[in-house]
This record gives sequence, structure tokens and C-alpha cells, in this order.
Amino acid sequence: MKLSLVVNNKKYSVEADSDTPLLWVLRDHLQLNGTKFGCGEGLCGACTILLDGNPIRSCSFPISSLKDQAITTIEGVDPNHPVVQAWTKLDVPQCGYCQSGQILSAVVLLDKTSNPTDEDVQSAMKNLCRCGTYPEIKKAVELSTELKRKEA
Amino acid sequence: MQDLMKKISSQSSQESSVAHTSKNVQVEVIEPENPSRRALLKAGLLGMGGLVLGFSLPSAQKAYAKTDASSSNSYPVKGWLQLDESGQLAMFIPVSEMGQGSQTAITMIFADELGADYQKVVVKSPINDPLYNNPMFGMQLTGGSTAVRAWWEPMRVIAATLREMLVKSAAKQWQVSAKECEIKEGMILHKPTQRQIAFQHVIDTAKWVQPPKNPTLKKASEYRYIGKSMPRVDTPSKVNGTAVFGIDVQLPDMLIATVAQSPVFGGQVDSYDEQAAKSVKGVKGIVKIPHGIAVVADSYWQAKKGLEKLKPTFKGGDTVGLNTDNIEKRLHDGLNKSGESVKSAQAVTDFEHKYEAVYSAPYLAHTTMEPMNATAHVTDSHCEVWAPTQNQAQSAKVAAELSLHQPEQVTIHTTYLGGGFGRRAFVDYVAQAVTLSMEMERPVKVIWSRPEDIQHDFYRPAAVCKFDVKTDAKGLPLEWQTKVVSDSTMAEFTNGSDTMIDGAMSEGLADQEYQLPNVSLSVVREDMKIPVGFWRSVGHSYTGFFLEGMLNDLAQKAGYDPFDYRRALLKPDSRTAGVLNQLEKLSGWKSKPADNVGRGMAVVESFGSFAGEVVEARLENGQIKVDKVYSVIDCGMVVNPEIVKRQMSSGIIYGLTAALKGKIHFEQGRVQETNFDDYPALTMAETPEIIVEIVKSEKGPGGYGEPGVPPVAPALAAAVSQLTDKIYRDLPLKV
Ligand code: FES
Ligand code: FES
Repeated sequence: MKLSLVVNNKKYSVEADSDTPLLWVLRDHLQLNGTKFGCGEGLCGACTILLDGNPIRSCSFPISSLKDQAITTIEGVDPNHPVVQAWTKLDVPQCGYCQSGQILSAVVLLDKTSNPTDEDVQSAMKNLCRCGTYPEIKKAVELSTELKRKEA
Repeated sequence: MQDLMKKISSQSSQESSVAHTSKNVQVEVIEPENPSRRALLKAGLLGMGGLVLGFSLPSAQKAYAKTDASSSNSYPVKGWLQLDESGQLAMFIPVSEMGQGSQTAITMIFADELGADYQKVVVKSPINDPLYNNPMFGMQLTGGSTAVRAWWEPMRVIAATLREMLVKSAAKQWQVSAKECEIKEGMILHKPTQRQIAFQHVIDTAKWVQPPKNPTLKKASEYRYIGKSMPRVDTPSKVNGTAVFGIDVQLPDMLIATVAQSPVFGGQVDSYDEQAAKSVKGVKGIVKIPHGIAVVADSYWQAKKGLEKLKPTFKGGDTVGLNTDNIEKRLHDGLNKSGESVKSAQAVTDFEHKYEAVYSAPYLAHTTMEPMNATAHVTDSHCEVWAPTQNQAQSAKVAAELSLHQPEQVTIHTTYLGGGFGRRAFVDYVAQAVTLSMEMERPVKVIWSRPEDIQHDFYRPAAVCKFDVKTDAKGLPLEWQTKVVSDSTMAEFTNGSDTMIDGAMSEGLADQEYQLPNVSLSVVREDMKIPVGFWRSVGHSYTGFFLEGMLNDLAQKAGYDPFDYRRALLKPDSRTAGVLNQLEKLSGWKSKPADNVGRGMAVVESFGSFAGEVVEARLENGQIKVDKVYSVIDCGMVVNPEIVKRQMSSGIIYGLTAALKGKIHFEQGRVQETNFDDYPALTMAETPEIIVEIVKSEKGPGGYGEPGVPPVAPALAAAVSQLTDKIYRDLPLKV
């Protein structure tokens, strides 16, 4: 199918099979490679992106289900976003492969909750990390909340 | 593992053992000319061009001469410093970065000794070349927690040599004595006149400078970066999505493939529906590969759909008939075999108690977050590979063999690795990419699905271990017999024989600092034909559980505190004892834990370091909940303390995942697990608080990527024992 989509405020038009998951359109068609493939079955969160600000697992989201929502990938996250700042300051990534997904999950959490509790963090941050950066992710979420508060 | 690695590459490792001196260094400055530069730039992998300053330590001279004699098509960017087209100074850092932070640690050493400004340094991954051979292995390979241990000395010699060449070159330009010059934050300074010049402006004249025979290394007091928690060099690209992993490589005209390999190891493709697969839009080819078949298409999704339509079936194989039950029976039966004796001792007849116990550990997959993949472009004159690999040496060898090219016609580019953990020391994915590119006569990237990744791993071998211990009246050992049954990872790695026994199978069982009397150790190999490989901490991943579990058992039986029991077996000035003492304090061991909390401890020497851990756990709805892990590591002198702590924490989480959940099952010779639902990884909610301390030490550097793993399972088992009054001798732990 012919598809036009808005990714990170840019308009693209692509020709792809309607059952193609959004992940592979982003990666193979638009060459936006920051979004990662980890499991292909919605289990790991490496492919997390935002549709109108809500997180989805793009490996399991066929493009035919798109309804003109605005798509945000890691490439579209403001480098000065408190989450990115916190991630950088605390050197969160190890191998880094899961981190695009982690960052996008944290961006949503921060948008929706101004003062997340431990439970909020755990239920928002379900992305797997085989390097075990969870302790740093937790700290970075806290730091980004602080940074956001200071910004406001 | 290192000993064996050395053996298998004895020729080159002999050469590399002298790489610590700078005698006979030769300088070469190479003006790169690169046929597929555009492709590379597109892939964002190497900004070629500019000027490269390199020299080879004696170990690499021969290889250098060979490459230079080859055609102009060779890829000449091999060296240590590069002034690229933008005027940026780049350093080539000879290790694969897979999360362990070695790229950062080696950059710190390089920059500090050179006098470069760490914050301004650009870091690049070099191509394959013997110049970058890991000095501990004698081959270009990252693994065994060796990066800092192997490069600590040579990297400083290299940097000091470069520094003196740059200074001399500046002095010559100014026509002053080099003695009047010094280096500060990337600038060469002529002290009497306060003139300054950046490295960039002298690199091209430095090529005429004879490299010093014995460059002077900086004193520890002169270090500006070493010993400090400098920020990681890879963070910026890993938080904005621009870091290039293997799976991200894009080449013009590239096709994408995915594979189905025989679920029974060693089996062959039997039938498939080529027509149906080819009817899928975008499918460009069906290619048989060893033990499997690939669908090549314009995009991954089309390749995957093609594979679903292809419906390959398989026949035969080496593991037909194997299932978890008969594998485990064979391992336990192996205890009745005599095996190969590693250590032997007289039997003690005068003793008070006799204990025997059998421990076991299962097969494990690595599940790196990035599934296996590689990209290759084979032409008549070249074989070029982009791979997230720990093993450039083997990648190059395999690529040359398959593409029928000479070694100098093969280029391996190393991308970032989305996890390694030992899996990527094997290069099966490289072989596939090369084969597919040759077949399709185009660049091809091969990407495995997650089920393919889990079902075609080189697994941590299962192992069974039996201890027979005789003790005195106090419960202290008088005789210590160990027999371990497992498979050989080195036989897999080196194509060794079915009967080969390697050191990793029993490493850690009879070579810890414990002063055990009358130790005997024998090793039985059971070759199941299941592919096995290095899994973070290799043999220690199970021997740590076995030996420390047995010590915890014995301590409890003898009514000892587990710290005291171990101290009774250790010299007070041993490094293990030092770790124990610090860990006892850190964990507040002497104060009683809450009623519903179980505590356990373990300490393991591995990879040149000593790591102890205390685990605090509870039972929550009948499930094990780990609250806290305290950890102390003595890894000698430390280049970057924060990276050491992160690696410890990472190893603890990796080890906990295995101890709580990890087991690969077999049915009819096939792996049963398919994805993260049936082979789960620890989640954030399950991750305990982790507290790490580093022992202050001036000893030579030890490893830290792996040593966090071995102690966590036995410490956890002991903690859970306190809660249930049962003893746990089998992994994963089931309450
Ligand atoms: S790749 Fe989408 S959830 Fe794992
Ligand atoms: S940083 Fe490696 S998987 Fe998360």
C-alpha cells in the first residue's frame, strides 16, 4: 500500500505491504535505525515508539492500523529533553541496544506523571535490558523528574 | 580459557608476548585510498581519509609488510592516530564495545599517556589487522574480561611512542630541543617561548621521526584520567539513536536476508516450497546455507514472509533423540566414569566426617539484546564485512575461506555490539552474510529472528559435579575430591576432538585461594553434539555455584558462620580474605537480618579478580524475591571505577536471571525455548538494590566484565536455604 506518515514532524510517503510492522518501515524504508528489533513479538520493548505521545511496540503494529497519528522515534526526541540529559549525565547505556526504547518509555512516563512513585516507574518501564542497566535507569528517571521540575 | 587461547594461537602469542617493549618499532604513514568510502560513510562506520600515524610493535611487523605488498585495493587505515578530513584527531581503539565499557577504558589510557584531551578525542573501531591483536590471546578477539588487562601495558607504550614522536616533530618545526617541550591537554608547548601547537599540525611531519626505542611512560601521579570515573565515550550516540550496531548497517543496493536453520543441530534441509516463497513481493532469492536456508529480499519483513511461505523441513542431525531427561541422565552417569585427572591426592583414612553432594547447572542461551546479524559485500577483488563481533580474527579467516580471497582482500569492520556475553566470539553469522552476498552478487545483511537466535546459540554447557569431602571433628576438610562432567567450549571454538578436555570445564574448582588439603579433581567430557560456547564467566558460571555451594553446605553442617569457615581455609593476607573482610562490613553481616529475610554469601576468584557477594532475599507469594546484593571486588588497579561498578552490577543481574529463570530444554534434539516469554530475562521490578565496593589496590589490573556473575547464584541459594530449610544444589533455583 501507499502510505504517508509523519515521523518526527517530517512527512514521508512509502510503498510497503499493509501487514508490514511499523518498525520495519521505519528501519528498512525510512532508514531511521534508532528504533531497534529485539524480539519481534512485543515482548522486549526495544522497538518502542510513540503514536501521538503514547508508547507502542512497533514490531507488532502493522502500518495498516495507522490512523494519521504523529510518530515519534528516538531521532525525534529533543536532545535537551530532561530524560536525554539525565541518561547522558548518568551514563546509563551499556551496550545501548535497548536504550532507544527505554528513553521513549521514560519520556511518556514523565509526560504523564510529574512525580512518579516506584510503582509508576516499574509499570511504565517494562522494557528489557540484558545488560542490566535497570538501577541506572531508575536513577535517571528520578533525575529527569528533578530536571523537569527545575525547567518548569 | 586464556591458557587455551594462548595454546591455539601459540605462534602469534609468542610474538605478542614481546609486544610490551617498543624495540624495533617502525613507522608508517599511510595515505588512505578507499574504493568504497562512500558506502562506509553512509554506514557511519569509519570516516576515512586524512592522515594516519601508526607503527607496529614487533608482533605485527610481518603482517604489515604483507599488507603493504598487496594491491592498492587494500584498506590501509591501520594505525593508532588519524587526522581526519575535518581536522579531528581520532584514536583507533582495538576492542569490541559490547557494553562492557572497554572502549572508554582503553581510550582513557591512550589519551592519558599521549597527553590528548579526553573530552575532545574521537574514537574509532579499527578494521581487522594483526596490529590490533589482543596481546593476551595473540589474535584480534575481545573476551575473557581481558581488554584492560591485555592493553594496559602495550597501550601506554604505543601512546608514549606517539607522544615522543609528536613532540620531536613539533620541536623540529620550531627548531628547538625536544627537551624544552611538553604536552598539555592535546597541545605541545615550547616552555621557554610559550609557543603551542596542536597534535593535528605535527602529525604529518611526525612520520619522519624515528620512534623512540624506550619511550618514557608517565608516572601514576601524572595521570589525569586513569583512576577517575570519566564519562563513557559511547554515551552520546547511544542516547540519541545514532550509534551504529550491526543491524543498522546500510549499504547502497543492499538486500536483507533471514534464515531458518535445522532445529536438530547438524541436520539438513529436506524440502521447501521455493515457488511459494518467490511469490512473496520483494523476495529476490532462496539460498541454501550449511544446515539451513535463507530467504533474501528487499526488506526484512518481506524476507520473513518469504520464509514463512518457504516452509522448509529438515532431516537428520547430530542431536536426534536428545531430550532434557536423557541429557541429564548422561551427565549424572558420567560421574561413574574415571575421566581425566587434573589433580590427584592420597586418600585420607583418618577422618571424622564424610560428606558427598552432587550439584548441577543447565544449558543456557545468551540472548544478547541485538539478535545475530552481519552484512557482507563480496566482489571479485574484495570481501568486506560489517559485523557486531567479538572476534575479528575468526571473522576474517572465515570470510577469506568462503570468498576465496586472500587475507589482505578481506576487511572486517566492527560495529557496536548489542551485547556479546561470549556469544559473539563465534562468527556463524559472518559466514552466512558472506555466502549470501556471493550468491546474490550484492551486499547482503542477514538478520536472525529471536527464535532463531535462541535456538541456534552456542550454549553454556550443562554440568554436573560431585564432591566427596572428608573432614576433622571441627568440620574442616582433610580431603577434597571433585569430579565434574560437562562439555568442552574450547573444542567447539577450536574444532577440537570429541574427547578433548579443556581447562574451562573445571576452572575455579581446584585453583581458588582456599588452602584445601589432599585435593583431587577429575573431569569427564560428555560431548552431546549440542553447540556450546563461552557464556559470561565461562566455566566459573557453574563451578562458582558448585564449590561455593559446597562450602556453604559444609559451613552450615559444621556450625560455622560462612565467612569464618572460609577464613579458616584462607591465608589471612590473601586477596580473597581481603574481599571477605570488606564484604562482611559492607553488608552488615554481623547484625541480624529481619525475620523474613534470608542471607547468603559467596566469593569467587575469576579472570584475575576476586569478587564476593551477599544476597538478601525473601519469599513473596511462594516466589523468590531478591531485595539486595552487596558486592566487593578486588580487580587490582582500576582505570575507571564507575565502569567497574556497572559491570559488577550488570554481571549480578545477568547471573540472577540465570539462577532464577535460566534453563534451555531439549526435545528430540531441538531447543524448546523461542523468545523472551519462555526464556525470560530479569525485569526492572525484579532487580534488587545493588551496592558495589572496589578494594583499593595497586596490583596489576584484573577483569571485571565477568567476575560479578559466579558468586551470585551460590549466595542466592544459601539465602533461600535460610528461608526454606532446604539445600539447593540445582540451577535454576526452584522453591
Ligand atoms: S522488538 Fe518489539 S517488543 Fe521486542
Ligand atoms: S544496555 Fe544493553 S540491553 Fe540494555
